[in-house]
Amino acid sequence: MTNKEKLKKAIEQDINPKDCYKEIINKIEREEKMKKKNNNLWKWSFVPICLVTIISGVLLINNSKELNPNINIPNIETKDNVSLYINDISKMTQGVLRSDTDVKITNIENISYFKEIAGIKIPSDLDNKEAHEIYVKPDKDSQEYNVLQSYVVNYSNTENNRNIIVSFSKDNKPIRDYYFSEEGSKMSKINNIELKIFKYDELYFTEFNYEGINFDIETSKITEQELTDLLLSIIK
Amino acid sequence: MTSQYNLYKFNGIYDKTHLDLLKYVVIKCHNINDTNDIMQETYLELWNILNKRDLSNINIKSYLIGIANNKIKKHYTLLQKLKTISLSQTNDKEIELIDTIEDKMNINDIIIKEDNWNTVWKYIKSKKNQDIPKVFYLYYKLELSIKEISKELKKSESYIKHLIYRTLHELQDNFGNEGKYNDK
Repeated sequence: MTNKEKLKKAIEQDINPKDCYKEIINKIEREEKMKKKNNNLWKWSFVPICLVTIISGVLLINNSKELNPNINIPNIETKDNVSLYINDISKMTQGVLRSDTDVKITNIENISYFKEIAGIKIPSDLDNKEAHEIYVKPDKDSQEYNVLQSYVVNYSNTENNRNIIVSFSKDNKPIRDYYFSEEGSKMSKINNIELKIFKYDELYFTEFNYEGINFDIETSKITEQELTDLLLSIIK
Repeated sequence: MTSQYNLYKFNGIYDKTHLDLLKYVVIKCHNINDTNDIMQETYLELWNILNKRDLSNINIKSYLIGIANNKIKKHYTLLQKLKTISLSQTNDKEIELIDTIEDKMNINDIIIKEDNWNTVWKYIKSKKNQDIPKVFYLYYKLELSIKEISKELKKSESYIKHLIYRTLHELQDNFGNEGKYNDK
């Protein structure tokens, strides 16, 4: 190795984009954790305020009439073929569980027709559509990501940050980078298919198997009605 | 998948832009030791923006350079800037007049122990005139020509040459066989 190469190597060791990237990702993870902690702190400080408000409300109601026993109405929607129970993660003990999976995501340039989601009902404002393939390594020691794990179709509205991400695969459960604790969660039922629906802030998440296909759906800023319509358009 | 999807987009942008941005930050920063910090601050800001709005229809390189510019401005207080400028400001013409160093010196002619090169780079980075580590980075790492470096740093070619050859002599004196930093 020449002196020029040795100096180049020393510079690369010091100013190294790979290390810089790792540091950025670490900071992003730390920031995300802090945000969640702060959210929890805010929630806990919110509890006494709510208690005071509820007690004041109760006293006020008691003065005029008897307490209505149905103050906490469960978040359940029941129709003939739809029985929804939204599991609110912020009220559950375990909350969000992180999962780090090594994947390679490739763009599908020409979005092909997916029979699995033909007829899917997407709100009309989500006019931006992108599709990807998720690849994983066949084993830990392998360097190549050559096993197709799942497909992902992302419908979004770039103006208002609303989006729906539908992942599906016949052979695998689609991968996600976090999971919701199922402790104490309750089932929903759509057209006799059981599924669990979770909510966290403005996010809904559900996964289910329909006609041999594993689905994983995540939405952001979508209403409960839009979510129901979407699920009904897949689980027919 | 939202954060994973954003991370995918972020990784794509990082891959496409980090080399150009690194060069920009090296050229514009006041101290080369701050490069990593400014790079991190810039990409963290990008991550936060990416989570709030869609950036697919903009020129991402120009956008990142804009963020980096703001980060550089914030990174240095006025006092720091003044200190750096007063310590490192050099008159190109003056250098040409006093410079008698032969400019044919080659880095490969210097005999320096193999494991001393990290110390050599640290020594270069510690120079008060921060144009020196910048020039070394651009010349030896990015392999730009003296003409290109002169254009990037907006300094004369003779000034760039002078910095390189004078520093090479210093390296020989300090890290060569009889040098005080030579780890015998």
